[in-house]
Amino acid sequence: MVEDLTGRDDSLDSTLIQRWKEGDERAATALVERHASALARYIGSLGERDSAEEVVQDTFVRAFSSLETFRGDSSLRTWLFTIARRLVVDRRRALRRRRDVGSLEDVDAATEYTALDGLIASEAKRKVWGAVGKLSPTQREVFLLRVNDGLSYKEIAEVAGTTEGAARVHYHNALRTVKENLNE
Amino acid sequence: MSDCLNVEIRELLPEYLSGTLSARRRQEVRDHVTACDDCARELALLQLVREAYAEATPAVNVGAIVAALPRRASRPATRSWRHSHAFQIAAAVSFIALGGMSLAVARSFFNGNPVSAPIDTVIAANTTAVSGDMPAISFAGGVSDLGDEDLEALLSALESIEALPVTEPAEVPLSGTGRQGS
Repeated sequence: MVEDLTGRDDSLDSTLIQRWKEGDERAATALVERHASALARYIGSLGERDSAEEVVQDTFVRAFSSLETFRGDSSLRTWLFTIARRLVVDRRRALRRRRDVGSLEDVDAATEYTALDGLIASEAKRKVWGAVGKLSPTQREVFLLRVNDGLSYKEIAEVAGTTEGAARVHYHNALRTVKENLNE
Repeated sequence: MSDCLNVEIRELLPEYLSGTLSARRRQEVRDHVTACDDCARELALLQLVREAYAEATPAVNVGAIVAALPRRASRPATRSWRHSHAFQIAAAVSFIALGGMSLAVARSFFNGNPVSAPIDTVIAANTTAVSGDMPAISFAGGVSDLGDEDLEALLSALESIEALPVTEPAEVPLSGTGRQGS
């Protein structure tokens, strides 16, 4: 079987889900392979790098627990992102109750991005990484969902709990800010 | 870095990089970017963002994730009762029977000859089954054709039919239901 396991082919997701429902456990592996990295990248961009793997796992456990009832109104990836985001928000809320941890809106992006830019090999990429890191959390989330994952504004609105119009405005403001940051 | 005024093409750049555009749209973007420096620079910037984040993606262990997934119970493909053949046949038979009865009633009604046979049959059967000494009631016309006495007899016969559902539950005796040993 030759398949592009990481692309955004919604019909392939539907086929794999159907195969899993019919008892093919290998379809579950294929689904995880297709979406795990994108989920980890998204969760990392929300400021949860250290717990990304755990959140990815929880996301898949939640998703597979209710995959029987997944109607496919949205794409599987959008649905997974929505679950992951909710899990991150819940974790933040639980941690905030125990100690002083910010919400998704309060992540200190500058600190986090400065600490992580050593992961990026080239100077150009490090600069871009830093420029994106200076965006507000909402702008960064919308911008990266669009650039990294090619989500439409409608899908971004669904994941981030905003409107299509607001997502479009956030994206263009973010792009303009990144360009300005790079020209500084 | 200035922005190209072709907003439509600029909006497609992220999808172009994600490979989600149709072949025709993809070619449109490629042709435009070849001729437009602003869009070429913007596309290069977006590509850099993708590469930077791809390099910094947190590692995940696919095997561990799959192992943690809820096992799907291997059960034979069961069909819900709504889809079973027996249910479908029963539903079809019921539908045909109801349709036939409705047609018969309608035909009798429009012919000015209300259905009498079923009422006769039911009343006669029940009265004989309930009490042997009660006179059987039979009428051929509609209920409006009955006299006062006949109507009273009909009502009392109906009340005496035990098969009719009781409207209230039987009273539950309270004695002996209290907690023992408390």
